Amino acid sequence: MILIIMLQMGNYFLGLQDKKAAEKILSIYWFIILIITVAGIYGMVMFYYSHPYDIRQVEASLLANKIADCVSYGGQINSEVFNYSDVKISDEFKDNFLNNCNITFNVESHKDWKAEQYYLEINFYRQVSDSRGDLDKIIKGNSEIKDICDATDKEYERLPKCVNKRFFTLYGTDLILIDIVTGVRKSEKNVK
Amino acid sequence: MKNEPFKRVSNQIEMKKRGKRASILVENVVFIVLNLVFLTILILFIARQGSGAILLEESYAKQIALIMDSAKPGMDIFIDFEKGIEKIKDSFGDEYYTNSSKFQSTIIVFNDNIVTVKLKEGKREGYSYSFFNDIQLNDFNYYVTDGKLFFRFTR
Repeated sequence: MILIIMLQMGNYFLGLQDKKAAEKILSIYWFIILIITVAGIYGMVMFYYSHPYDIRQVEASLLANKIADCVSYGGQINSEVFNYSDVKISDEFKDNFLNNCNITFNVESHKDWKAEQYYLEINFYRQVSDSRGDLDKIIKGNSEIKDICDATDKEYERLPKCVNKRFFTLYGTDLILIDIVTGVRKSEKNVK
Repeated sequence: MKNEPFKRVSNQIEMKKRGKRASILVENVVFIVLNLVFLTILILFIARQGSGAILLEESYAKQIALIMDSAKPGMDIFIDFEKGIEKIKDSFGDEYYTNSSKFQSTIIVFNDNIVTVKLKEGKREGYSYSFFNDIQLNDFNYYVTDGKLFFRFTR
């Protein structure tokens, strides 16, 4: 609107003053430059602000931290994780893992969300000298996320974000390696 | 008497010159004023885009969701809420951020593990975002104090 007014006022002055043709052309170019500038800035601002904040990487990282705090604390594995008789994850802990760790995968309703938006996988390994033996694993959430979260290319930025964390902890005198993989989808709310 | 016609012509030339100078001055002033108006509108547009209610709602909802995810018992966490207060003042009124119960039932609402932020009055429901931490409403308290949104996690 202001540009139209400016353009009309510019023409008014040009017509009234009977300026040289070169000055008229310069004035027209000036308004064209203004229009291009406005269009450019408007486009850039709209492009920037129309993209949502992507917090999935932070969410996945926080989820991994929460799991780590739940299965191990102060360098010792949580006493509820393994059975005493054999070094296997207790069924009670495995089945009620989300409750035991105060985690919920409930999400707000969204028309495109049919499956779960979170994924977690915890692998337990026993470290004996240089060899590593599988103990057990806990998997919860949407396992499809795991299959596609390794892609890092720009074209795959709409895909879920995943975080992998691993650390050692003690079970008595045994050294246990815990490998945690977490993934968050929620693409529709984090990527345009 | 002889010089009278010459004086008249000279005066006319002088007036024409003054008129031309005045018109150049007016043109330049108008040009500068219009440019300033243009720049001001552009800056206002950018500033308004950055502090729009919808954008702030998303930003606060996601910040709060991350706070809830990282919260542990005994923690006190606060975030800057100045822009949010401005929006609440404009749309709802002062009591909606000074009165905790009104604030908790209208502006920032927790429904299980979903937080909804609404900074503009109207039919819109605000912006909702979920967090994975299974924290209960009586495990924490939140309110606005000194331009900040304050969270206290008790359990």
